[in-house]
Amino acid sequence: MDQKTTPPQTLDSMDNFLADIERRAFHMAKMATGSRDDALDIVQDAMYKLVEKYSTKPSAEWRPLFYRILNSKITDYYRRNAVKNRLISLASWGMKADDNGADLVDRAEGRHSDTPDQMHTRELQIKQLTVAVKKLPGRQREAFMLRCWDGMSTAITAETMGCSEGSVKTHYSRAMHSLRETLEDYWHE
Amino acid sequence: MNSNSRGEKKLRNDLHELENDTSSQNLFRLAQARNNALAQSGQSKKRLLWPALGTSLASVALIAVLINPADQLKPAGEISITEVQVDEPLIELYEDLDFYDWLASAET
Repeated sequence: MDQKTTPPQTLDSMDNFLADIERRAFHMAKMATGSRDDALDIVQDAMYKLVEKYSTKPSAEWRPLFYRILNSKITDYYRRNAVKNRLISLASWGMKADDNGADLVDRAEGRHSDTPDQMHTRELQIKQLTVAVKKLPGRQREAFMLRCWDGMSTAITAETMGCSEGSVKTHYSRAMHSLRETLEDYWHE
Repeated sequence: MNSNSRGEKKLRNDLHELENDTSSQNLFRLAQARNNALAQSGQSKKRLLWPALGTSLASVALIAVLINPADQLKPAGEISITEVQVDEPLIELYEDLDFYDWLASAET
């Protein structure tokens, strides 16, 4: 059988898998980059690569592979934008803050049961969470997203990140420590 | 439940809520990206043709060079000598032209 040809049933499974994971991947990329369009590009690139290179792999391996590709794309993004970001970071800070605010208002529209005060509080909380996660160093953010957000085990996270379980525990512990300092409300409410 | 796991749980809940509140515009773009990614798998055979075609053409070119090595592969140093050799008849032609011009004017 030609290894490069993906059978239709595999494409169906892949479609289901990507549909299941795409929203999370998008928000992970958006938190990492701070940009909706860049996040969409990164997710699309990750989907392309997964389908192109790994669709013939067992479906159980897709999840760690996909996150590995996604994190690799985010790292590439940082490398490409390292110099540019240094130059424009001050100028764009205000604009990005506005973007986040607009997005938060959009998502708040879906919560009609909340009062305006509750909506405002949640907007602020999510905004703080987004900023805090974005500020984490890359490996800590990866460990946090995979362990806490996606609920992966330490072993699978280690496989996905390409490091030892001990390193995952260290990165995750440091990430949680930073977040606990920044987001006190989550621990004290 | 200790404060650590309570904090983690609240973080996780908020992150999942963020996912669930993804705007319809972003969902549409994600679905487009997914469909494009899945559509490419049918084109993988076409992509494989290009490297194969390129390799074949390179082989043909290599064979052509091997068959005719004297004309195709010359050291850089010899090129100028060849150029001089090519240029010499041209110089003679110009000298001859001067001679014929002189001869024509002398006859008149």
